[in-house]
Amino acid sequence: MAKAGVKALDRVDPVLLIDVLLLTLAGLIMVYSASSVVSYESYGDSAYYFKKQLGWAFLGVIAAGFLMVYEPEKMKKMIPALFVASLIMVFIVHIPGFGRKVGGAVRWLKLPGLPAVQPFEFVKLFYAMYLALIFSDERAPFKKVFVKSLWITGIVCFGLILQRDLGGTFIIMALFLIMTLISGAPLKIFAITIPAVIAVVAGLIIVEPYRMKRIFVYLDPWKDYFGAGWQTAQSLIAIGTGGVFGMGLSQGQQKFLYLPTPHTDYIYSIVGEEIGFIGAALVAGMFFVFLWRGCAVAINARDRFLKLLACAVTFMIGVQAFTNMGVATGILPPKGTTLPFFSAGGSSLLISLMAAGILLGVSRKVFGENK
Amino acid sequence: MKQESFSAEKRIELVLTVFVFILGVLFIRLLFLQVVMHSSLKNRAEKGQMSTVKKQIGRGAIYDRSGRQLAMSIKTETICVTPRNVKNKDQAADFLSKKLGLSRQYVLSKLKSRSGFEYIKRKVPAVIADEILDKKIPGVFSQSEEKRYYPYGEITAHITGFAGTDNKGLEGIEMAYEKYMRGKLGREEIRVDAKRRPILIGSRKIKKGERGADVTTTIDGNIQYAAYRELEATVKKSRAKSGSVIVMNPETGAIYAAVNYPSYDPNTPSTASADKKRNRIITDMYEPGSTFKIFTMSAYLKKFPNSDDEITYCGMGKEVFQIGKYQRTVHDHEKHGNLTHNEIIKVSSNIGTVKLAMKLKPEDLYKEYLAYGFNSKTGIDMPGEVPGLIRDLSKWDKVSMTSVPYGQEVAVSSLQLARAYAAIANGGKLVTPYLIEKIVKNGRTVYRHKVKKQDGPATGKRREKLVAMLEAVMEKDGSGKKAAVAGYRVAGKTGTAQKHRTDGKGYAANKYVASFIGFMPADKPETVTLVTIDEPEGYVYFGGDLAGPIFRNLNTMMASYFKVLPSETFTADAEGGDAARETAKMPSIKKKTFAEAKNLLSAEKIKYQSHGFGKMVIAQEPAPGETLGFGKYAQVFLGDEAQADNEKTYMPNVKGMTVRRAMEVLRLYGLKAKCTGSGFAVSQEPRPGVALKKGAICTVNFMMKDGV
Repeated sequence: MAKAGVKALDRVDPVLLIDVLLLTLAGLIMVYSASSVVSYESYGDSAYYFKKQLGWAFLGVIAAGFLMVYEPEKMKKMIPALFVASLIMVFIVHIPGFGRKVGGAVRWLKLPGLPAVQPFEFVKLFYAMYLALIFSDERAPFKKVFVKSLWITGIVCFGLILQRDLGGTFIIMALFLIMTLISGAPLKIFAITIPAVIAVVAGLIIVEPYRMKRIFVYLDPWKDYFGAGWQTAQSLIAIGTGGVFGMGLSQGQQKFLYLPTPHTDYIYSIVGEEIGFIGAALVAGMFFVFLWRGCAVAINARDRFLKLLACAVTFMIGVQAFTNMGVATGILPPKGTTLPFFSAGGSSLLISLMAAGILLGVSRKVFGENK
Repeated sequence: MKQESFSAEKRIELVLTVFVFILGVLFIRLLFLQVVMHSSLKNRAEKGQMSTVKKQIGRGAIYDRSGRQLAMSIKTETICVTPRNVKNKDQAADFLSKKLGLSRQYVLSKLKSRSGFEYIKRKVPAVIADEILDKKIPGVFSQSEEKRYYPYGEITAHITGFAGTDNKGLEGIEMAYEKYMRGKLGREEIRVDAKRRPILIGSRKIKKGERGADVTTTIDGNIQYAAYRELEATVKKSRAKSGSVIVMNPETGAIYAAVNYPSYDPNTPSTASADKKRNRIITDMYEPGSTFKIFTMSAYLKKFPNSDDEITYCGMGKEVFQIGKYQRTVHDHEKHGNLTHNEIIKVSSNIGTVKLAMKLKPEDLYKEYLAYGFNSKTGIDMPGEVPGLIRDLSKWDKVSMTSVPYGQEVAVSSLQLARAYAAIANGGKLVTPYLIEKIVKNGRTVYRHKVKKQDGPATGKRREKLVAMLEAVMEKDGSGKKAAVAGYRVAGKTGTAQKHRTDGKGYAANKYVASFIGFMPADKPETVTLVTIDEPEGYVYFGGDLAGPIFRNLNTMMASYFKVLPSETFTADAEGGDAARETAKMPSIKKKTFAEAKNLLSAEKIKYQSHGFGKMVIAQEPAPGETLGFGKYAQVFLGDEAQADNEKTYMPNVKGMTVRRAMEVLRLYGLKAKCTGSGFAVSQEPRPGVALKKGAICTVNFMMKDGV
C-alpha cells in the first residue's frame, strides 16, 4: 500500500497535489490565528481549536491518501449507500438526543462516543458523487435521469431547509445546475430550472423574516451597524483594514470578538485583515487553481463517470469556496457557509480533504492512462 | 447524449469561465475594499476598537492655613491581566501573590480564567504597582484611578464638601471651586475587544491631563478639630438637635474653624442625609436672642453718648409696657432692680434693654442693626448663604420695639452674628468673612484673598464701652461666667432664644437656641468665637451653661495655641475669689487626724484634695508655712496611724494624674509603679483602697485625653 502510494504520487497531477497541500497548510495557520481569542474565551486555551483542527487534518490527510490510491470504479457501488446514510444524518438531527442546536439552527449531529459532525458536509460530498453516478449512466434516457436527479436534489434541499440552512441549500442547487449542464442537458431545461431555483431561494427568503433582513442589510451594512449589519460590517472592516499587505499574521484586531465567527464562516475576513490583498488574492487564487486543475482532470477524463466525478468534487469545493469569499467581501448576503480547508471544524476539513483525495485519485487515473 | 456540438468539455470550460469571471469580481471587490476603502474602513476599525478612557486625574487638594491636607486625591492602581497573554502562569502567580498579598491559588485562577480580561486587585499602592510593572510580565498591567480622600472626615465635611465618584465636586468647596480644582481631562485611548475589555496590543495615550488648582483655606485643622470634638460632646450630652461653632479672626475675617454637628463623613457621602450635609453656619438663620442686645446698646450710646451714669430700673423681673392699646409684658429671669448699662448687658436684662430702646426711634435701631451687617449677606466666598431677616421699618408693628431690641422678631445666621461681634472686637470695621486664602495652580497663585472691611459699626469710646459691657458678662456674677478663660480678658455674651413653634405663631415652650459669642483677649482680640446649640433637651438650656464651657475650653486652648500672653492685671476667678486666700499660709497638718486637718485648712480658707485612705495625714503639700498659689488646692495624703513603720499600705487613687504626679503619690505610699502610655492616668491596678504591702508593684495606664 505504501509502495503503491508512492507510485501513485508519480502519476497524480502535481500542481493539484501541491495546491491541496498548500490550502491545508494555510488553512491550519489561519485557524490558529483566527481562533485564538475565541478559543481562549470558550476553553481557556488559545490553541484549543487549532489542536482539534490539527487532529482532523491528520485524519483527513490519511483519508485523502487512501482515496487517492483507491480505484474510483469500486466506489460506484458504495455511493448510493453512502448517500442514503448521509441523508439519514441530515434528518435524524431533528430527533431529540441526536441533534445539537447552535445559534437557533440544528445543524449538528452528535452520536454517543463520536465527535459532533455537520451532516451537511457529508451529504454535500455524497450528493455530488451520487449526481455524478446518475448522470454517468449513458444508457438511461436523459429525462429519467433528470427526473431522478431532481428528486434527490429536492430531498436533500428539503432536509437542509428543515435545518434552516439556506447557504447549504444554495450550494446544493448551484451544484445541481452545474452538474446538469455538464451532463449535457438540453439548454432549454435551464430556461425552467434557473427561474425555478431563483423562485425557491426567493420563497425561502420571504418565508423567514431574518433572511429578508440579511438581504437588505448586506447592501448597506452601516445602516444597521449594531444590529443585522454587524457581521457584514465587521467583515468589511477587517478586510479593509488589512490593506495591500495586511496587519501581519496574528496581528488582526477583528477576531477580538468583533467578528462573530472569525475562525469558521468569516475566516476569510481574517485572511484579508492579517495578510492583506496579497494574501486574500492568493487564497482565492489557490481555490481557482484547484478549479482549474479539477476541470483539466475532468476534461482529460475519457470515462464519463470519472469526468463527472471530477466535476462534482471540483465544483463542490469551488462553489462553496467562492460563495464563502463572496459573503465575506459583502458581494453576497450573509449565509452560514464554511471556507473549505480553512474554516475550523472537523467535518468541513475532513470532507474537503476527502474531496481533494477523490480528485487526486481521478487525476492519477486520468493522467496515468494518458501516459 | 446528442449535444455533441456543445460537448461536456466545452461545458466544463464554460463553467470554469464563469468562475474566472467570479474570481475577477472578487479581485475587484478586494481591491475596492483594501485599496480604495482602506483608510476609511481602517478609521472605522479604530473607532470601534479603540476605547477612550477619560482620566480625571489631578484634582486639586484643599489645605488648611498651615498646609494640612483637608482633601486630597490618592492615586490607586488596579492590577489587571489579559490572561491569554500571560505565558508562564505559575511563575506569574508566585510573583503576583507575593507582591499583592493574595493567595497563590486565587491569583492562578484569575490567570487561568477564560475571560479576556481580569482584575487581580484594586487599590494597590503605587509603589507596589510600580514593582509589579517593572517586572514586565506580558499580560499584566495596571489601570490607575484617583480616589478622593478627606483626612479630617466629618470634622471638615461642611468646609470641604465632597466630590462624587466621577470626581466632580458636589458640596462645599469641592463644588464651589470646581472650575479651579478639577484637573483637565486626560484622555487615553486603548484597544478593546468587542466586550470593551482592554487588550494589550497598541495602547496609546492621546492627551495628558492637567492638574487642578490647590485651594488653601483659612481653616486651622487643630482649632477645627478641637471645636468639633467639644461641640460633639455637648450636643450629645444635651441631646440637642444640632450645634455649630465658628471661630474667626476679627481683623481679617479669616475663618479658623466652622463646624456643625451632626456632620457626615465626606469619604462616604452617599450614606448621609441632606440635613447633615447642610452648612448650618451660613444656610440657617435663627432668632439670636440676648446676643443681639449689645447692638441695641450700641444704638443707644450713639444717641446718648454721655449716659454712663444712667440707672435703669428693671423692676421685679416682669414689666408691662403700654403701647397704645397694646400691653406687652417683658420678663427677666431674676429681679434686678436698678441697673447700669453695664449691668443690663452683664445680667442680660430684657426689661432694661427694652427700656433703653424705648427712648430711641425705631429707625435709630434699624439703622444701627444694618450698620452691623444684619439683613444682608456677609459676602463669604461660599455659596448658599442666607441674608438673615430684619423686617423693614414700615413693617414693624406696635410690639416690635419690645421684641427686636433683645433679639426677637429678627433672624440672623451664625456667620452674620460672628461678623457683627468681630466689628466690636476689631475697632469698628465690618469685615467680610472668608474661607479661601488662595488658589494655586501649577505653582502660580491665581487667586489671593484681599481683606475687605467697611465702616459703620461703633468706633472709639463708644466701642470701648461696648467691650467693657461684654467683659462684665464674664465676671463671676455675669451670665457668661462659665465661659471665662482663666488668666485672660474675655468679652462675650450669652444668648438663650426661644424658638418659634413649628405650627405657627408664638414661641415653643421648651425649644431654645443656646448660644455664646465672644472674643479674646478683649483688649486685642485674636479670635471671635460663636457657639450655638440648637434645641438642647433637659434642665440645662441656658447659653451660658451649654455654650459657655465650649467657648472657654476652645479659647483656653487657642490662647496657648496663638501664644497669647495672659493678662497680668486681670485674673478671672471662676470659683469665686477670696482676697485672703491669695496670701494663705499652709498650716502644718502632718500627723494630725483628718478631722483636725480639715478644721485647720478651713480656718485658712484653703481648699484641699485628699488622697489615700485612713484617718491620719501622712504627708502634705505644700510644706508648712509656704504660701498657696492662687487657685491651687492643698494636697492631703491620708494613711493609717502607724503607717510610717508598718509594712501595710493602701493603693491610692491616681486617676487623672500626670505620670510624674502619680509616681510621687505612689512613692509616698511606699509603692512601686509600672507605667504605660503617657498623658493622664486612665486606669490603675489594683483598684483604690486595696490593702498592699509596701514595695508592691502596681500598674498605671496613661493616655492623652481630648480637652484636658
